[in-house]
Amino acid sequence: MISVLNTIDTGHEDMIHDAELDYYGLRLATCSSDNSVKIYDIKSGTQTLAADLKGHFGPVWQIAWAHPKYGNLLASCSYDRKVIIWKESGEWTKLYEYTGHESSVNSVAWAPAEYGLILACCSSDGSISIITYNQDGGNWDVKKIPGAHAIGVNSISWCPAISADLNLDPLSNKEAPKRIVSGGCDNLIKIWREQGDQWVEENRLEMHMDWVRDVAWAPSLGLQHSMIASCSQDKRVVIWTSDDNVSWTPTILNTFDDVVWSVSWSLTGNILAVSGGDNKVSLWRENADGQWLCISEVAK
Amino acid sequence: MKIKELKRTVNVSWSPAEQYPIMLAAGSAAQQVDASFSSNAFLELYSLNLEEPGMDLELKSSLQTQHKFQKLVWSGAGVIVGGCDGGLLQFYNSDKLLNNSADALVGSSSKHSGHVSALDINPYQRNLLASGASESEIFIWDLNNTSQPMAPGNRNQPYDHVQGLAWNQQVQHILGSTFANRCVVWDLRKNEPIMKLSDSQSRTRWRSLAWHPSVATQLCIASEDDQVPVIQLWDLRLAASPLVTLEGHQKGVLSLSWCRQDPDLLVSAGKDGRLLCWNPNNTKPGGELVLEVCRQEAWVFEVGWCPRSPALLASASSEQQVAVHALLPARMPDTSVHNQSNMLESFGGAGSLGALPSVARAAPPPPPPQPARAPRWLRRPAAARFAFGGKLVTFEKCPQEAGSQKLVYISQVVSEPEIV
Repeated sequence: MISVLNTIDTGHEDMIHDAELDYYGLRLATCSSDNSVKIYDIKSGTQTLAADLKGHFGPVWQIAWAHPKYGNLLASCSYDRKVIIWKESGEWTKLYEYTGHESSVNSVAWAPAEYGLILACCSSDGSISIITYNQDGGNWDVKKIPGAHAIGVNSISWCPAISADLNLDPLSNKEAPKRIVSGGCDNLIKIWREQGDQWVEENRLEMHMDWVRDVAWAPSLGLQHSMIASCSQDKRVVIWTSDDNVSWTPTILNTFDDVVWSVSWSLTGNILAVSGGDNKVSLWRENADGQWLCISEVAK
Repeated sequence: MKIKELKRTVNVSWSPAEQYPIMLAAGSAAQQVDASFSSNAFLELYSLNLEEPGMDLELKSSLQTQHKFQKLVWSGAGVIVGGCDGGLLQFYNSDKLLNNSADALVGSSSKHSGHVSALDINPYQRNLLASGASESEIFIWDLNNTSQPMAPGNRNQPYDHVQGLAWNQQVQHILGSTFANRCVVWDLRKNEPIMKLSDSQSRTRWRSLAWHPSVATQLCIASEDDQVPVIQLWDLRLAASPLVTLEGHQKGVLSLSWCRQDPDLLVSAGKDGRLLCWNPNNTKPGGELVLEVCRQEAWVFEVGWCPRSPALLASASSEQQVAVHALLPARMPDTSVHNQSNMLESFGGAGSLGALPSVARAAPPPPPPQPARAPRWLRRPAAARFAFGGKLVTFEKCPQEAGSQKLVYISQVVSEPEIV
């Protein structure tokens, strides 16, 4: 069910904190407690180091590839309170540096490409920033959600642009409102909706009994309803479903043996990968009766 | 950075890690009088109220008590124990307290003499309590049956007040105790002291102690003497002299707490009103000061890491101030902007007013300090990320030592094997 294609010795000198393939699966970005971001070209079972990006002065927690229609862009966030957007034009250079947070920046996520070039990031200072590239001015606009989660926001994820928002009339061709889900140290999951030039709290989802470590909004392809996966220090993974993106119903996927650090949806949105502090990766799928089953478990 | 506060002079205890949601127990502090000279004493439970902006904790329950408290501890066995004057120990049922039931006091004992200022709950057996008072008295209690406490051995001579007690975090039958001029480690299986630490060269007066969360043989002890306000890290295997002396407080150190989620973080509080965070595992001379968490006028006599949520600290000071701090800068939302727009609306909106006199807007203040090294609880050790075409990228927790390979795996997930 799972077969390893490549094993990459990243050469990082300390813990790895994130690894992401780009849109085409041809490039791998990694980041680490050694303060660096590395980019590898992946081809037929081999890999070559394409770039070793040094610009952060603290552990780099997460990276995110932008949609290729905006060029080769990679965002990284770090304990040094900074977000850096890197651009490849011949060489990799810093395109933009965001220093609006007062504490460790824990997660970065690009908005669906339909909305433009927009990056959301969140911090241990409790706030979320939404950074929008303004094509006309060539500058970056920042909107901030202060006090989003007390004592820190750990993770952030965008609602897909084409969503199961049944309240929208497809004929009116109205864009779905932009939404973000965030998870924090207050054990809460919050859903934020853009309204005018502000982001408002639309919903808070209470279920976890400890820090929410990761949240992931499922891609909408072929799904009947919206889904969000969340995982927590409380060792549980919860699937939240909604028909209208407004009222959400939780289902506990499973209680694991250790802290769950990451959840990730397959691009078709029907398989969830769950990864925990015990190095176990498991894959989950919903059956026809709406039950979540483990279809594969990998422990190395 | 302070995120919540409570205007009371109280002894505090975090709820144990098992308790959800997180609470703080606060008991009126003995030998402290407030401005009204009130002699009323209360035991109160507060929730952190993190969902709400603002500095207030939310009062959940309040019980008037007969005695004020020298020390409070909250056991995972559902008992809150208060040490009082006159050798008195009070046992409260935490569920009953939360329900505001009048019979929450479920037991008391006056087996001790003098004030009971040292208490600690065994980390492995939640029903085991150690208590210490005057005349070198130390008792071990079973919270399920508090009628017959046992002593860990003969009382240590010369008789002196027991300043601090702490159970070892790795070996459950080892108990550490501090007296003004020595630190005695007891083995409860042998019922005798197995080690006595004293630093004959300095004029330290020991008070608080804390065991290393992961190294069984190491502990820190702190001196409350204003001339020698130091913290020392000792290893029982090398008990001739301390491994390192942490120097930073200007006046005596009153309380210590070692973070269980990240052993590189030890916090200390003192009469100089400072709350300092150290990395005691760095043995460079003078010690590695990680961060000054806060500084105030009054003595800070108690500090503790939250057992459940690692980034939080609670401190209690002698000037009616309990504070909950976040280790990383976490600013609460600024409500002043909102107020200003309200004000402008009342005057017919900003447009009807002239431009604001240009107040020299200073550059935004520099961000508050954060520890140079990222706390352990922020470091994601493993993840799995899906990518295009059913590819799955994974990496995992790897050995800490330098030189070990940091690997990333790219795998193919075949989701419909029956079709293939």
